[in-house]
Amino acid sequence: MRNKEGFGSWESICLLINMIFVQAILYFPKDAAGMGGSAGWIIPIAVTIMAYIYFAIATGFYRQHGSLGLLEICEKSAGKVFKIIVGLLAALLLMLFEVSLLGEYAHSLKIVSLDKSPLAYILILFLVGMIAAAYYGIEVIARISAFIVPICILGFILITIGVIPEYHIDNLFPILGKGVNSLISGSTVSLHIFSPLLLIFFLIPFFKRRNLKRVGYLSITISGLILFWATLSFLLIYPYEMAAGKKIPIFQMARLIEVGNYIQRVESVFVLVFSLASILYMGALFSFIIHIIAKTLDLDRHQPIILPMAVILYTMTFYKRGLPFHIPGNQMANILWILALLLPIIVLIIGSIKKVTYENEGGQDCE
Amino acid sequence: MGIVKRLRKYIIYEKKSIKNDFELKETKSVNCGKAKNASSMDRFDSEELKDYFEKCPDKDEYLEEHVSDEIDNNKRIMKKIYNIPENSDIIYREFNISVQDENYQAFIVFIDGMTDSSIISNNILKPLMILSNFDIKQEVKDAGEFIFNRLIPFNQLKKVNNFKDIVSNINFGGCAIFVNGLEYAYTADTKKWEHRAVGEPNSETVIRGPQEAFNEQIRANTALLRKILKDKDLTIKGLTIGKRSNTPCAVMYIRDIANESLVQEVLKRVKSIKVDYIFDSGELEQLLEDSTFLTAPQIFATERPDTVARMLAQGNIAVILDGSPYVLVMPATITEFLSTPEDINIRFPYVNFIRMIRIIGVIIALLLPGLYIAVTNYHQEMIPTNLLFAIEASREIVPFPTVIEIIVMEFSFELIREAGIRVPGAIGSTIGIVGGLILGQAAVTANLVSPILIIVVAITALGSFSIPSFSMSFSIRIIRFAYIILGSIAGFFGIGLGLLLNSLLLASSKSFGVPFLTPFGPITNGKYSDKIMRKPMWKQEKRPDYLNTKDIIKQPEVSRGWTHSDKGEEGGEDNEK
Repeated sequence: MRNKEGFGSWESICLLINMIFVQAILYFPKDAAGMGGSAGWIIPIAVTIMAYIYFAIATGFYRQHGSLGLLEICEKSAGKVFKIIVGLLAALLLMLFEVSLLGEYAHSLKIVSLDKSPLAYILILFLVGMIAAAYYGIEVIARISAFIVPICILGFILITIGVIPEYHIDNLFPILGKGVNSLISGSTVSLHIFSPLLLIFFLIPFFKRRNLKRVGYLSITISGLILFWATLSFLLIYPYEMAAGKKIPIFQMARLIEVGNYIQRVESVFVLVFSLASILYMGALFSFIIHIIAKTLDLDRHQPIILPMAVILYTMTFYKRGLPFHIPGNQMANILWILALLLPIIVLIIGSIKKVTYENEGGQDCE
Repeated sequence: MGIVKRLRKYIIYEKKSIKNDFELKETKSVNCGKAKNASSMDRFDSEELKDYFEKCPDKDEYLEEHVSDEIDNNKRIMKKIYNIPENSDIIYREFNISVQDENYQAFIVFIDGMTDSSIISNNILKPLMILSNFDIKQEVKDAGEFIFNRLIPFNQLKKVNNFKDIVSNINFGGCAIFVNGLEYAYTADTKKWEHRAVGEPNSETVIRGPQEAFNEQIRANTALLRKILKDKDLTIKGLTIGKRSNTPCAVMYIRDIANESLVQEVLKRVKSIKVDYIFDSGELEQLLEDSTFLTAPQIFATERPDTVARMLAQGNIAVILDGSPYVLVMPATITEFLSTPEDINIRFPYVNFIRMIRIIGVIIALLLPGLYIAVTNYHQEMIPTNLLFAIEASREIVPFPTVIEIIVMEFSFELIREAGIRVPGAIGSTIGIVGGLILGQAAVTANLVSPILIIVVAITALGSFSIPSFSMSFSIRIIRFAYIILGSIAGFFGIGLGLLLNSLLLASSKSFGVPFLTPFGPITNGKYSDKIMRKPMWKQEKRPDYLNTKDIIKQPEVSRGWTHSDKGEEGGEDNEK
């Protein structure tokens, strides 16, 4: 076991999977049903293939950079100013992402569980988790992801198994749903679900370079399977016209489970799974924001900026309704997140042109 | 007569005599260094410094001196150091030795009650006082060597030339013999003091397994471990902790297994402790641990030699403190606190079954009251309708909200537990009856709490009793209250938040460089077989990866030779002697 700062590939995979998993259980199946109709289950397959292609291209450009993070590549290729621009841009994108999801998650929780609590109260509880996560840093979050994420996924699988008696195969017909064009456009727009892959290039300094491909491809594969299974289960239960109107798909599925007279309804288990996964996700995302800002501005310690950033995010959550990307799944928001995926590619291309070569920093790289 | 006296007291006013005119005077700490410097620089005119110099204890300075060849000097110093004759348990005896017609003055010093007086009389004083008068046909060139080689027939005798070592030897049950004309004294290890015999463990009882426990004697404890681990590489490094108490301490490890940097870290931490007195390993644990504010323990304390031996063989380090029946083992991760000594000794299906029970017990002890509040306040849909009606009916007459109910009952239970431990054994069971039966029943009858809550608190208590480690049990008892509050303010969302915060806290903490949640967070490589579930004995091939031991292999892949060959060739060499 290594004692230096860093973590293994399993921790990284779990961290990335959780980021996609939370979105999958909250709104992705509903969006897929809206875009692809009864063929919505094809969208996660197409999106996963596109994510493979994206990652193959990105790692192709990354080959010569050793274990450098995205910001180090920026600095070495085009100087400190470029690093600051990319760093702040990435942080801003993640902040918008965080703000949009924070409000969405708090709303969802208010709907499913805390209907009498004010939104600000739920947001503050989220912020407590986020601040604690950012305080302890990415390494600790990755460590706990290693055992919390499998538990959450197990809970999700149990919910989908519990609703198997409700499956109706007829719901999947016509097999191509709204047509090939809508499937292609829907798949392209839905690539935003894999936008957390952006973070893998900030994560590299924490794990061994040789594990990059394993982490990336395994994360995409497992996330793809979750997306596919969630969408398929959802569509098998609800006809797509109904599915597109349902909020919080997995919660709607959990409500249908009946386990004799002993446990009346199990949707509360969903609340527990969703709470754990979403706070972990929001905490991880917030830690990345803090990490990126601290690294961009060459700060010695990241702790002093946690509280001001939390206040900014909290305030932005209340004003986000005026912004054009306030709801996940919104077209404008989707395009913005896809642009976020392009950011690392641009940096890596510049790095390749400038030939930023491998440097073994901190003994992380063993390739 | 008595009545008349008493009446007189009320009728006639008498001034009360002052019975106690004692006043505790304020004392100042003495800065001896300052006073010494002042005197050396010839600035001894200040009244304050003069006062310092007079109050400055001179015994410590004598400790730095060397033994003189003039016995009177040595007598004076020893009397000063031990405050003889005021100190009643210090034995000081003067006598004469004859070495080839020449007489030498001598004296012996030791502490009564800590030494074996028959050994001192028979093996030291008798030979010196009687044997020395016999005619020995040998020319004596050096009287000191002659006394050492011929006159003291005692096995552990040393020549010591400084008072510091002499005093530490006497304090640890030895004796010191000073002879005129010699620039050193003889010290003999004659310790023998009252102590508890090796008994059965009190807090870590097992049905199957050794029934020996450590006692308060460091040498007995190290011997118990040596008895189990007959390994030439078992190393015991002796140290003393405490500026005044000089408490003996031993750091134990197996040289060719334990990680060198871990050994150095433990030694560094133990050596760097600067306290006046240390009495128990509990104090030492608090001085050695990484994080004081974390509720979870970071050092494993046990009273069982077999547990320490197993952990030493695994690559851990043990610290034994004289006077404490608990031995500290480090580093400690969560798995150690969830396993019992019995887990090794019983068959693996039984172990895994009881471990499952234990883990469920831990989860119940930690979460059940919080979950009960969350379900009854926020997620009533989970409860079957009939049960919900029953709960509601039982709660109908209770005026308090559930959270108050549960906090009151949990607090009462903690009170009963604390009282049960503190009172003498004979009353302990009465406390249980009073607390458990009468208080519980009365609380329900008085409509203070609902009957179902009594069941919740009782199951929680049973769960907490299933936690094998005393320290871990404390930690869970404290955190349980946080879950009660979180469950009451946000239901399952609060519980989820609590689980995440708790995980973050535990995952960030380390015990001697090893993350506390290892091998689950971070997940470590290797075939370490004793995680949540235990593998069969013959599959336990490797030591824990997280300890970074020198030798990771514990046993070969084929540890049962007979399963591969009748001749036992695969299993390596024969065990027959």
